[in-house]
Amino acid sequence: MLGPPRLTERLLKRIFPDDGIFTTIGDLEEVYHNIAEEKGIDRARLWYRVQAFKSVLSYIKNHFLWSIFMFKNYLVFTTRLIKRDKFHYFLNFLGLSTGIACSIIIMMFLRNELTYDQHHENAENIYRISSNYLTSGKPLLYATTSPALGPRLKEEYPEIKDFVRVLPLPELLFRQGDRRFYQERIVFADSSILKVFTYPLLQGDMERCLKDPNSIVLTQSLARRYFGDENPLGKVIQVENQDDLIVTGVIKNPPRNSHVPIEGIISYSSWSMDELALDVSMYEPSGYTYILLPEKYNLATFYEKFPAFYQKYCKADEELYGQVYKLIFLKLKDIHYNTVGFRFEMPLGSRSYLYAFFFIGIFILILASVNYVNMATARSSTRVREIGMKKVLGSRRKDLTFQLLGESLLVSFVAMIFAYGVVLLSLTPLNQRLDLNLETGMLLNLVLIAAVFGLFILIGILSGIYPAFHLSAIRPVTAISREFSSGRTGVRIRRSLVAFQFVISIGVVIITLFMNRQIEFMRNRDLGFKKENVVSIRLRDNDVIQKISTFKQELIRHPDIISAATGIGQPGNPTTGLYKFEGRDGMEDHNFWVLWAGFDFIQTLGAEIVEGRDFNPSFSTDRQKGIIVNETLVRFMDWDNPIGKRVAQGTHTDGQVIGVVKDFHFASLHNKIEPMLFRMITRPEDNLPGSVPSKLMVRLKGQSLTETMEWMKDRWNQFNPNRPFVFSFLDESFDRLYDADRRQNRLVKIFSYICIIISLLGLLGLSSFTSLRRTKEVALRKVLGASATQIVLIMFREIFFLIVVAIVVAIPVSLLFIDMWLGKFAYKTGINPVLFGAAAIGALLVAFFTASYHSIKVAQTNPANNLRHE
Amino acid sequence: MKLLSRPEELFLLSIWRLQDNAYAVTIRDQVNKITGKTWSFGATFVTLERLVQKRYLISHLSESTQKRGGRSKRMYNLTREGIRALLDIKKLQESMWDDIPRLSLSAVKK
Repeated sequence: MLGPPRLTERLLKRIFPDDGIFTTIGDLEEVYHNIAEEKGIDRARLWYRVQAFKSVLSYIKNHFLWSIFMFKNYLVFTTRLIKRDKFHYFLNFLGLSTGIACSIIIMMFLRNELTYDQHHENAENIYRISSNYLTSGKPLLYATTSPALGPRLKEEYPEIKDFVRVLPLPELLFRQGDRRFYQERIVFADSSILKVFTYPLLQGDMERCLKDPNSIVLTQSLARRYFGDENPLGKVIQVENQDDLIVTGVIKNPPRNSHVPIEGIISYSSWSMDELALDVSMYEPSGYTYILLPEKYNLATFYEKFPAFYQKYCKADEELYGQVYKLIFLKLKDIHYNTVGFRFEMPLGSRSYLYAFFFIGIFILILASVNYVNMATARSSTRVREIGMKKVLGSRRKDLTFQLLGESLLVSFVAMIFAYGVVLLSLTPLNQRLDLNLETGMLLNLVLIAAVFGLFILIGILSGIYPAFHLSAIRPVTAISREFSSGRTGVRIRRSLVAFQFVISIGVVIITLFMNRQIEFMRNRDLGFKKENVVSIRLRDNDVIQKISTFKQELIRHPDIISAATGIGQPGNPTTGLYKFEGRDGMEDHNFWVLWAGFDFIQTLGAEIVEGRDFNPSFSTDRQKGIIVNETLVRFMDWDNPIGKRVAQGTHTDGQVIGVVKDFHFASLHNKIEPMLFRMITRPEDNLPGSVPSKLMVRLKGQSLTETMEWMKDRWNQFNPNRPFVFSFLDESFDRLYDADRRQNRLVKIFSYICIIISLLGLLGLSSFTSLRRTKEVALRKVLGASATQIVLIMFREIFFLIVVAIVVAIPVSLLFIDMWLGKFAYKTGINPVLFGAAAIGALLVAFFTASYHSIKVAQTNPANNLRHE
Repeated sequence: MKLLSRPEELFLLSIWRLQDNAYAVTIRDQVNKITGKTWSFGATFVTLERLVQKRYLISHLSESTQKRGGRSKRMYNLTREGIRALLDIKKLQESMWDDIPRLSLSAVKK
């Protein structure tokens, strides 16, 4: 006969284990058979199932309902504990939420960084093609390719689904009505950009909006900037005071984590080169080429067919350029972190910054958890009796472990909620200080929430696991008997944890001090020119440049303006060029740094001529022939008498050195001073091939700076109403070369503050418990005549050793990091032992004051109060 | 003196009556028969378990049958305390009934 339902039976076995004998299930089965004989098998099965269902109900009731009651009980217990020990819980909670807040920010940052360019649906199959022009075996890498490459590849390789050429543009002057802005992040791009990449079109026609010349697609925010709430479609934006662009589409604001940030797309056909694009040699790269390949495409098949392509389009130019052309494929998501070292690459991310962030996050979390462990073990003395009592009343070890873990989970849960609020408030200032692009909306991201939740569980368990096992293992007899010397347990662990915190804090502080020193050093170092009080005004239109000398003359007449000069490039931003120099055996080719200068350029910079003379308008030949070199170049060429040496390039076929400038730092202090030369810019009216100025540098006296700037702006607007007055201060733009270093410095500084706070909290906790533990000792000492000062010092001795050990460990470790960081600078401050001393003394002082907070309290109490219980 | 509840009394009496054949199925059948109601297995087990805890019953395992899927029976026997508890409650009830002078329905308020 058919037995009872198997699955149900198995369920019942779980509910009534009965030591594996299953008499209960036997009873049920017997009745089942009885029913089956009387009323049929179906009724029997039904009955059996109903029995099972009922059992499940009561099982749930018995197991979970009671758990809930117990949970409530634990909760009550925990809140009572917190109330009784407000101070320590508060410290702990503060540390923990700081730690979690940091981790949340770091997770956001990591998420932001690791999802670069991932918002494109086709991201997996989009490749950027870059160029390698092999020159006599040596690679010459360009991120860019010829504009002909995309279309040609599409012709030869039918499997390529689509290609996109993207040409990022320099800042452009946009004008709409009275709104004029220099606009960054504008690109020329093929209309396929909207299909290959994911830029959801809110308005406009996907097929047509980028087809015609002079069409532009704007992002939502840009459209709003120029057109407010009006419908932008069909409206006109004037660019560079010349061309009118018609707005044909609006795209959703794209996420900022893209290697080519885009705010406006101008149709590729608007580019003057577009019609000739197909004729451009493969050896003349300009703009990026992206291709969309089919899913799971094997690049090997691409390379197989490449020789034919090469024969057709590259072979002819191979000899002309003397270079072998190779293609390099980079997956879209790999671009942001590529370390190939391409020329003309977009700004890239740095993995080391990423790792730094990651490890800082982990460190802070460890530090914060350490505090919890510390406090919980320290508190064990006060809780031993509670635990003992519970054990006597029948709590099993497992229950206690869970209860203690639950407590730490509760604390970390509250800390997590609090941390979320902190992050919300601190995001904007942090974004500014660390140059991050974290959006508040990301806080609601489910992945992030899940990660933070996981983090909370992790911290809760991590920080709770030691106390949980440690405390729950206490034997009830020892706990309840008076013999249990309170607080003995875990003292060593607590001390070493606090020492560990101090190692990290002191180390980070030392690193911060050195970073500060290096950055101060770079800022204050004599650069060989005077970077203060120099304003550099941007020049663009040809008609402006033609009249620039008039404007310059007008400026110089102002009492607060010392001199002015036009030029291309400036210290901090030089150009390079390949020149021929007169060497011992004929002319030698060298690629050196170049600054293009107008008259008075060197004087305006405040650099010094040590030999020969500056460019001078009375020598009519200076524009074509004059070259001024720096001392390093003279040394490099090993010229005994530099004046008159021949230098040639282009129109400068018979160029001559007319002067030597004293070495100055035209580039950042990361690099040694390299050979460089000045040559003169050309004027449009000279009708010479060469370069026209892009900057007008003005040296001011520095008094009444604002008024002078106002005055200059006023003059500029009269002189050239079409262009906004855009300027920068030379010292500011020069200092910007250290932005990355400063950002690292700020990051480490913030890290050091947090470390200090957390480890001080740890120390405060430790000292409060040591003083509590030693109340009787202190009372006895007082009775025997010790003064309060002596007692505070005795109490501090223990902590003193701790800190000294931490200092001894921290110094070599931090030295290692400092050495690594300073390695990037050619000019750097030495390792100054005073800083170590300062950090050490600082740590001791701060530790002393923190610790004395409690010891003074203990030292001042009346010994009678502490002794009378005996 | 601890008093038995009515179900407890019923169960103990059934087990007493069943002598050496008292296990969950037969006990439940017996109680069902006496009370004319269907007792759930849950109630049966809980009551039996409680009686064992109160030491009115002891249980031991006995042979298995095919019908039970090869599983043993848990047989129940009254202990000395169980019998005493039954006698106690019987005595109590009798003395209570004796105290009522005459049985009259009019004494019950409607």
